[in-house]
Amino acid sequence: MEKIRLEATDKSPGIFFDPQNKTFEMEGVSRPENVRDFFIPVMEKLRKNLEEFLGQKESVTDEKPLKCTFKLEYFNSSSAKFISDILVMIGNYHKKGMPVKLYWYFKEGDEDILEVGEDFSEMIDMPFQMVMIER
Amino acid sequence: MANNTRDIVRYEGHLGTDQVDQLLIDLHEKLVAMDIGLLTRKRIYSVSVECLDNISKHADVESISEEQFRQYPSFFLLTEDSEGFQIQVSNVLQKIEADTIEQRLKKLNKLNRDQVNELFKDTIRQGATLSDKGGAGLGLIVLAKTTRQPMRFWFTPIGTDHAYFTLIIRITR
Repeated sequence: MEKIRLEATDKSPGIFFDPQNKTFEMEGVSRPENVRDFFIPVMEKLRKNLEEFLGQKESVTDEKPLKCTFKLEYFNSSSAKFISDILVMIGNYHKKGMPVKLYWYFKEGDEDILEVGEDFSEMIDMPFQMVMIER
Repeated sequence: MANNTRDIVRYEGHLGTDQVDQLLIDLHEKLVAMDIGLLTRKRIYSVSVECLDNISKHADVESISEEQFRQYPSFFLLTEDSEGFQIQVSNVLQKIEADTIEQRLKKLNKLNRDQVNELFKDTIRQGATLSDKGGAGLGLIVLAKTTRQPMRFWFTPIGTDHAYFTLIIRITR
């Protein structure tokens, strides 16, 4: 399986997927210039990895879940669509039997990021662990 | 009308990707230096990004003359007053696009907060499709979701094919 390692920039989020340690992380700011060029390759790679994960019996029966961490400070409306697509993808693999724990971080007082996390959780019908970052 | 209005950021002229990026850097620095809460600061930034991205992607400055552009430039203004903040943006649009935006804004202005949130979720659920210019049809909904109050707007016709679109969004402290 292939790792994903995209460092964060001023305009695009950091995205890290480590199949060995079963972790997926997205962090920072997301308003890439060309949102499709940024997210589509990431989604294709992630889909391939999750498919392989699901194919490995031990990954599904293993008690260690895929730990997904979203620490997004800000994302624009075009990114919201793709972040939601990634969450839907993770949610679908979860429904197929892959154990997943999803952590959604928000800064203390940032009720908008908390609210959109709750919206996404409802949309993919999967509980998110909301984690407040204290100021 | 709120009193003691002061300009925080004002820009008039061409708004391409480079100008938008620079404007957002300046805006972010100014907001961080001001004594305002995290949520208000982020809402101002979020509205500014959506408005400026819309201008850089949808403003039709190619098909108007230089003289018309001088009269109807792309415009961004963030002001502060005793009640909060106001973002005003203007740009030239094709008439057909102006009609679509007008219908969407009128519809959004009639919705309450819960209805806007539901529309946001439904639009994503139904798989908001990205236009060639990268918009997901969510921009105006995000503006309505963020401002939590009706948006003021108007269109000034330019010839038969274009209009100068002005949008005013308020962020309460």
